Amino acid sequence: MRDWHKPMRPPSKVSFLHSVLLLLCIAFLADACPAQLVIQSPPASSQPPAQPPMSWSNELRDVANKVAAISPPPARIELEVNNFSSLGPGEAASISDWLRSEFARRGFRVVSAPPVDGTVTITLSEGVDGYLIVAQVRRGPDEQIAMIPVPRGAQNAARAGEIILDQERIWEQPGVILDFALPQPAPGESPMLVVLEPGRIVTYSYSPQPPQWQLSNSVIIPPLRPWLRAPRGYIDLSRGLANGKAMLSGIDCTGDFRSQETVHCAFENQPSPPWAVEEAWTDKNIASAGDSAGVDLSCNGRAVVLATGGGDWTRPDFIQGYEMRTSQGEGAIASGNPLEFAGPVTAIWPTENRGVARAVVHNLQSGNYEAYIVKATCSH
Amino acid sequence: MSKRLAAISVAVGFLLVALPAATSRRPRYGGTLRVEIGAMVNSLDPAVPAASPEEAIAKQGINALLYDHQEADGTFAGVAGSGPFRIAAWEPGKHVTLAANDDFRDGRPFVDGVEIQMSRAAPDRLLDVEVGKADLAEIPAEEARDAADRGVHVSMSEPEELIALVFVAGRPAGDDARLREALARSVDRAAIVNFILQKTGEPAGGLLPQWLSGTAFLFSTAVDAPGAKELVSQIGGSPRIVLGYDSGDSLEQSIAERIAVNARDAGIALTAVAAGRGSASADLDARLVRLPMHSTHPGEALASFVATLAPIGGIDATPLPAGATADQIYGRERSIVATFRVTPLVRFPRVFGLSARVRNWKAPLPGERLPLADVWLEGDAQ
Repeated sequence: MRDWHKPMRPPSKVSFLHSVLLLLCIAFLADACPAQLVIQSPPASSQPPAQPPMSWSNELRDVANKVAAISPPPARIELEVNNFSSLGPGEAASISDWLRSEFARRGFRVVSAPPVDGTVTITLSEGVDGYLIVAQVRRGPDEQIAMIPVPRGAQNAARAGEIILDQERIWEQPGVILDFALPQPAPGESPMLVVLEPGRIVTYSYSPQPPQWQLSNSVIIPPLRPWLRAPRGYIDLSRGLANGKAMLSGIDCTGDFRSQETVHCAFENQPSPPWAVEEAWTDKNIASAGDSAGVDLSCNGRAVVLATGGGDWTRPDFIQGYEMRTSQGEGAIASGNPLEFAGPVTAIWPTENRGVARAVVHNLQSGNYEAYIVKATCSH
Repeated sequence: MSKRLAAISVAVGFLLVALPAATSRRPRYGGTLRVEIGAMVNSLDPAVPAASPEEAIAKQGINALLYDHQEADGTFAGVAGSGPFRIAAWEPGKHVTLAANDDFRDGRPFVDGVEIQMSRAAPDRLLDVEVGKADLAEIPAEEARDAADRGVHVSMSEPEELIALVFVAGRPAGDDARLREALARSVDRAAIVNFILQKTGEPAGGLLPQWLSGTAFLFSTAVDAPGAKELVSQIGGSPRIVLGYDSGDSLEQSIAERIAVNARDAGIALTAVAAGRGSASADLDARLVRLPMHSTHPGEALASFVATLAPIGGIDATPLPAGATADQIYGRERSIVATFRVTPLVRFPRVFGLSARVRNWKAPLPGERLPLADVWLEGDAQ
């Protein structure tokens, strides 16, 4: 594992799962968790255009420090910023603006024509380990190079259109996630997180002192023979954790997910499993989509459905909000900007909260499975 | 049949039937994937040495499908058949049939089996994919555009395999650093990419690709004929350089001949000669070396390259520190290239031709096994 033991940051806005997510956001990797489990911070919200991405601030200051160490101010410098990374032009421009301001603040005179004391070329680059800021400082025939790595951050939420989508990444692990659930904690009880994997149901409870998720229970699910390569999964906590139900292709597990010994799994004939119902509805109503979830929300008097893209599992995916023209769902209108992800959305389900869905993404860049809460709101 | 097995059969039978009928997003189970390779694999026993690099690579690829996983040192873990597939039929040097392993820990492959036909020449492989006789075949990078023009679905990895010119250690012709630098400056890498690789690839100035290290842009790939001539004039007469290429490798031959032209233009006497692969370098002053990439970790990939290059070029083989930073990796790369004993030339992707019915295929990253367990076949499901 590399650089995954990161603390989570508080969310930048009050959200629908405020009480739970505030706790999530300060949690660290649980020592008691299995080694592959990691918790990662939710994405930062959109930044004002003149500011660098919040997660880059420290690294950009490091760049300025290193340049200043190589070529101390005051000095006339020519500054060039190149973007060879996957950052968008807007983000790169923000970084460029910020750097110009920072160099000026430190006593450099940033000029665009000779005479100059030195030339500074900042390149926003990217490798498999993340972003890389490369500073080339030339003074006469000499060139010195400084490199500052920047971990990859999450993408910002969409902010335009009729349906506004926000995402909160709340969990990440290398192993497959079929579904997850964040049940509302009962008064006085610790928040719980339930993760459904192909071979087990894992329950974590939140411990405030020290703030971390701790493995609470792990229920082994008897293997299906032949073990399907892409089983579907669904967690049903509509009757509470004490009467939880986890469904996999051909298997039902029921019991109190807080108590390992009460959970029993059995092979079941599943004539209408949730995924079959969902897929049939999606095929009929949003033919271009792969999976969808109705989220009990209306915008402009139309029911809102969140749906994935229709590609296979080898490419980045997105979640798009749709307004359904009729109650039968005939005629879906894409509304607002999609949320984009670095891999296929392998599951999307509504939650009990209005406008909220849970989604699982297989991040093709990191190889990890990520659990997201996606919230849809109407823009007016 | 036991009650348990009966229950399992019912459940599985239901699952297979319950899958959506005609969607490419959700997988379909069943069918046989037909694969063609160029190499002749005579033994799948990991302990038996391969007769050629091609056989070694192909054998490695097949074994990666048979064993649970591969350790960091390259050895396979578990027993044959513990991977996504097991051997169903095997005729050494001709073909192997693999059957899906129902008990594979990551889940049963979507296809029922894989038929691998060996010793198929590149033109035949491409033709078979084109006419639907094969589902998957690796094709030479320089033929990718032609394949796409012929309607073959082409899948490419990131540019990973590097071809470099390496001066053989101990040969007098390579003793003068100015001559080595002059030759490096004279090479028109862009022309090699555009005309020989048919634009499937990229000029390489460093050893590692940009997508891996993020620092490749710091290495120049520009041709500098005036600079090369200036260096040659300083030497006052260039000794003849004998550049070897693999006699069975048409891509290497084309590149070597192009380098000879560039060198001549710069005033360097260079002769390109065919040589047996891996043969003693007694008569060669320099040779072209293919460097396939085996890791997606920059430090490991560089170490692998150095392990290949050091015995030929006599470059520094000191290992990088564990957990080397981007700065350190770049520094080592720069120090190697700055000797001009190794001149990176071009980098190109692995190219695969796919039939129209192949779904969920993603070109593997370096070190990954072919994702045949993830592939499903459209229109051939149960």
